[in-house]
Amino acid sequence: MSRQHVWPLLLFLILLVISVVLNTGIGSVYIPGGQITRILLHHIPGMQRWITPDWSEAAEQIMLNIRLPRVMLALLVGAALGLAGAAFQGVLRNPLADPFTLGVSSGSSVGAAVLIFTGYQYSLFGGWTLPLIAFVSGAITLYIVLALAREQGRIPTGSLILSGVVMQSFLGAIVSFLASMSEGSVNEIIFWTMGSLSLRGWPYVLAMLPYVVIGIVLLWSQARAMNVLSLGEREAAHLGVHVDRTKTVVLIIATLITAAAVSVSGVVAFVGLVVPHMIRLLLGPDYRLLIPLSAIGGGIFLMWADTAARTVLAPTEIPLGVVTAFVGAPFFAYLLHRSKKKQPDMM
Amino acid sequence: MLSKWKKRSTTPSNPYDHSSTSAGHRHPVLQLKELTKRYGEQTVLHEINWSVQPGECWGIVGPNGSGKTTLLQLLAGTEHAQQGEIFLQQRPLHTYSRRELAQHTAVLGQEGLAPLHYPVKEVLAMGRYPYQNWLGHDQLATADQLLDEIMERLDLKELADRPLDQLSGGQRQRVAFGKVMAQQPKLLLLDEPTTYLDIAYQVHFMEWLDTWRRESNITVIAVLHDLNLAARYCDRLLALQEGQIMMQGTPEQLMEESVLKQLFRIRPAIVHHPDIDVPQLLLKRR
Repeated sequence: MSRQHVWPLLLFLILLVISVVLNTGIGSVYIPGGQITRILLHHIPGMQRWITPDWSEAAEQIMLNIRLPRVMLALLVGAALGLAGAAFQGVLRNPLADPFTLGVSSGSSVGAAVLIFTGYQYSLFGGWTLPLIAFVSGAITLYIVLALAREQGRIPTGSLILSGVVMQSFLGAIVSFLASMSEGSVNEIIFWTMGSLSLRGWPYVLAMLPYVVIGIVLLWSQARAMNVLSLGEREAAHLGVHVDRTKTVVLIIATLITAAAVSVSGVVAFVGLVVPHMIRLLLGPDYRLLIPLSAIGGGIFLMWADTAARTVLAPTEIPLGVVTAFVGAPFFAYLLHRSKKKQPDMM
Repeated sequence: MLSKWKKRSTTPSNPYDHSSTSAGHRHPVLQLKELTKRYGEQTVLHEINWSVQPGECWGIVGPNGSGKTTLLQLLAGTEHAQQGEIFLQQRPLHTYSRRELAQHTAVLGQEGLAPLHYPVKEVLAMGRYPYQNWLGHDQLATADQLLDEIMERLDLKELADRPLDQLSGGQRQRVAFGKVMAQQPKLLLLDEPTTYLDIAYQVHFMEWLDTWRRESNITVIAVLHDLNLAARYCDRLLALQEGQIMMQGTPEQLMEESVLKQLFRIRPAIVHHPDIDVPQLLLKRR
């Protein structure tokens, strides 16, 4: 970690904290930022003496039990998707790869949806069952997509995305079909195919946390290998990178954190595409910086997207995936246009 | 200023510095025994027996499709032979870990580096990858100084912060060369390194290589299309034809009209370089 990396990291962390406070305040009942900060500080042991409560009990309840867990969950899901996007782009060396375009999100949602609609979500491994099955179905999807796209040992940018889109629409259809079969309402279908963070709460935040923390640590440890890998697979091998091992490890971690995110939020599109690219445009391609900043940036992005989802048409909620697709799809089109112009075939 | 390159040749522990020992005690850096490589039905290399002594500079020549690049890939450990064995320092090549191999052998290809958005000095630093631990700390405490010296020597100082995608092909190849120097190899494999360079860069490139080679006593194996360049800079030449060794020897032995006629099916005329005593090739019309 060199000095030049510390400033962007610090800046992003400050933006993250500000975003948490502001997004917690915004809603049908507005809570001012100063009040939020004081409520939060009041809950730190030893701080009670310094802060006298000057807020209503209702404000505290709304904040701690409704707003804050939702904002924190948006942060973690966004972080997971941003990380996964950066990781997929890194090892597949494809600028258009992300959990959604590769079909991994949809693959994970099929596993999760089957489990929930059949009522087996707590069997086998208790609370771990859902993310585990989502991971397995996501990993199988990724394997099929990569196999479909491979042409003579290479994976052209275009065919990878095409295979991803094919798998994604097929798997999306399965999820919609399952949801139609169940007694649930239309809302449930929308939840799985367009994503949502409503009615979640602290247990989901705690379930999500270890995946994000472990994901950041493991992927960050691969950052230098991913830098070298961007020179090309053969070049990287000549420099001592175990290319196949690095690729497998990174793909598995990225799929796992995607599965965890999908298990709590459904399919939220394009976060993993938009965020790492924004950071690349701002600060360059170095994965030592890109990995942590994609996590933080993904968190910030999804917090604001979720706030928009719940406030723009309040009291009606817009599905979260709709908000991210409004931003992400045009951005995807821009990247497609650019990558076509620059390198007709990146692999 | 160039102490680090020289250091290797003056350190007694260096296994490649045999300047004080007699030639009879030298062990080959590389030894190939009955090496056979097939792609499917097609045999690309057939029972190659070859050994390379430390400090030598070999040029591998031969027509297209004679197996030159495949041989280099096998030596680099990125391809594996079906039969036979390669010994690097008397130890089978396949027993080396990727990292050990990267500390020993560096490879420079004809395409240089892709036009990435990494600044030049970061790319040079990637050459240190095989020496870094998982936290990114270099075994060599003075690694930064080494990178500075390389930039100085290859005139890369002004380009240090420029991203690769803003450089010309020749400049990128210079960065690729610097990255290989940063890797501090004992064996350097080159695959037509001058293909995309103009004539001035070709000369520069070969001169840098020659100086570096002499200072640090590295062994060089280069696939070269340009026979004149090969004769000018290599001590020994290996001629491949249809996956087999047709001949090996000094440039004088190989740059014979009869040999080249058979190897490339051309009508050559051999002349002597006006300044240095090496044979050079001219072509006659059919």
